[in-house]
Amino acid sequence: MMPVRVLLAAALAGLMSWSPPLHRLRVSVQVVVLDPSGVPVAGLGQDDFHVVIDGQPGVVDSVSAGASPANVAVLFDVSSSFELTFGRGNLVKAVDAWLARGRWSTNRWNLGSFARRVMLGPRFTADPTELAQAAHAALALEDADRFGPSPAWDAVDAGIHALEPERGRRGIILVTDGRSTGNRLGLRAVLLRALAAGVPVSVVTSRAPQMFALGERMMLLVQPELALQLLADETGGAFAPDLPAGAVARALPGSEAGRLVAQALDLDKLGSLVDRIAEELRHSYLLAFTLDPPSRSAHLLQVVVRQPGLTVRTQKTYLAGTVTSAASPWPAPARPRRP
Amino acid sequence: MPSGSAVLKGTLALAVLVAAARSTPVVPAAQQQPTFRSAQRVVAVYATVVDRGGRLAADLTQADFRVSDDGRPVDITVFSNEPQPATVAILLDMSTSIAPKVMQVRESTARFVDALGPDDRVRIVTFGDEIAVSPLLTGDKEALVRILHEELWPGGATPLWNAMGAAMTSLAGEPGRRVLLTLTDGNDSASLSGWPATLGDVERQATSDEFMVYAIGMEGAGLDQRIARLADATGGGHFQVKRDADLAATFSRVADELRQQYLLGFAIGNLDGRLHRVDVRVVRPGLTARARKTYLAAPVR
Repeated sequence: MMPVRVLLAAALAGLMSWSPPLHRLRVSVQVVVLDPSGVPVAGLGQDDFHVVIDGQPGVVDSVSAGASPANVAVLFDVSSSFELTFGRGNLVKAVDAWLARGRWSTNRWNLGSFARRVMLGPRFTADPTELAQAAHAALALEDADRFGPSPAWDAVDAGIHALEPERGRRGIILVTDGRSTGNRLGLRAVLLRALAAGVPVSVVTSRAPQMFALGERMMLLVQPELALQLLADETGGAFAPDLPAGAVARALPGSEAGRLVAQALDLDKLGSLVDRIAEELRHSYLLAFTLDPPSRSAHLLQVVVRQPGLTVRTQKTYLAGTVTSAASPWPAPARPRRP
Repeated sequence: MPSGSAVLKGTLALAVLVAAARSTPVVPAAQQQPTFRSAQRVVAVYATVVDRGGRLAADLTQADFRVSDDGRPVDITVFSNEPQPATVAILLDMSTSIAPKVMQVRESTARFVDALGPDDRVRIVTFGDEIAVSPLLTGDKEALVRILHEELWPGGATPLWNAMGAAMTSLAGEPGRRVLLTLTDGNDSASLSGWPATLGDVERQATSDEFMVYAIGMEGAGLDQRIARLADATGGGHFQVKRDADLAATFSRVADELRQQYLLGFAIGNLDGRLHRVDVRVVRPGLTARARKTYLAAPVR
């Protein structure tokens, strides 16, 4: 994905303002390590990792290991297009079932949604009553909100904003069909925000292209999940295109009023996907290393584990300094809520 | 400094008119004292002038125009043939039938964006499964092209009137010339819950709030004649492209028209709350003016 990273570095010049750090910089990144069956690997130490920065070996200063509650912002797409793809009402049922199962209790959560408005709860919490209230507030919408846009990138920006004061393991889980509209920020801008904040963005979606007829023998494939996958891959998040597919063949031209050719789908899998990603975040490692005073903003980053056969996931670019966007609508970061 | 003073006066009058082109009372430039006389308002009319071949005529002067209000000739108190800033909502039909054409829509709209003047601002609105009114109203071409590349997702029906209502509401507080530029390949075919605008609502709002409507019909069902009539009534224009490949040229034509419209203003003293007929004519032979056909003589809201 080299072109993407070149693009990222170039984007800093115009889209965002960058404040370079003046001294050696102690850097911390979040790293997920999975065994071949996708289970988080515990018990790794400093000697098990090495880091490559801009193609040069770096020195790992410290590794914080051991499971620890992660702060997780979950952002549900509640727009009409999501409902058309996955069935109206199924998201509410799936979230209720997830909450009832109770496997979320090892982490702290902030549940939000996006359609015409982006909503997030007031804070990260593991309190079941607060979570249930936040879920209902996030998923209960007026029709004008549901049939409004789906600003997925702005929602990610809001999640980053909420996570910035939080310490330790953090992550965003975006549940969406990927048809992102009505954003203040574009994909590139929000990707930069996530990289600079060190927040992995995981995505729960489906990997089924939407198909449109182009004449009698050709079909147009629309794959909104590609941008989502880029966001997840570049930030070190999980990409779970595992929601049930099938509601993907929208009406062909000429059929009645563009109605969706699909049936309501079962979103039972949603809860287990969210739990799996949260578990990965809870077991992730915080890896610290040092950068000399950086003369530029973007550094290519690779983290390697010496044991073979393991999958390592972390952000692929480190952005030194702070990145802000004038287009971000959120106020200055709130005060830290945890010591 | 008579000449300098005259220039300043003219500039002030124009600035006041542009700032207040939406039903705002105007104090004549010569009357800078805060004495309150009867409420007076300047009606702004933007005119597109074409020759018999449809080519835009760009070299007219104030003396070439005649304006009447309910059939009575009025004095043109403000005139400009300089490009005026425009605030444009571009409404892009993203119904299912657009899917095969979405690349042409994107590239043609991008060409329109590229032709914007330095003071123009645009908001992009898409409609299909959803009505997505961009929160950005901007002249930043990079941001607008970003939206065109990232946020066009075809699918769904054609909630045309809902979308036009939403677009006008989103520009409700904006001053100056406000334009709806609608691209569609079909007729209104759906109403989305929570977006209540009907054709009647759209007609009323466009007239009373002085929106200029342009409509471009792509290949397909043909442009709905009701939107074509609305475009005529509001001084905009409507185009039915014969081949979708002509779309970019049509967008360019609209951009040219917006850039070359004449600004005419006349004062009214009687705010009687009625809809008045406006007629704009060009005295030079062979030329035709297109401008809005009515204005609402309403007090400031």
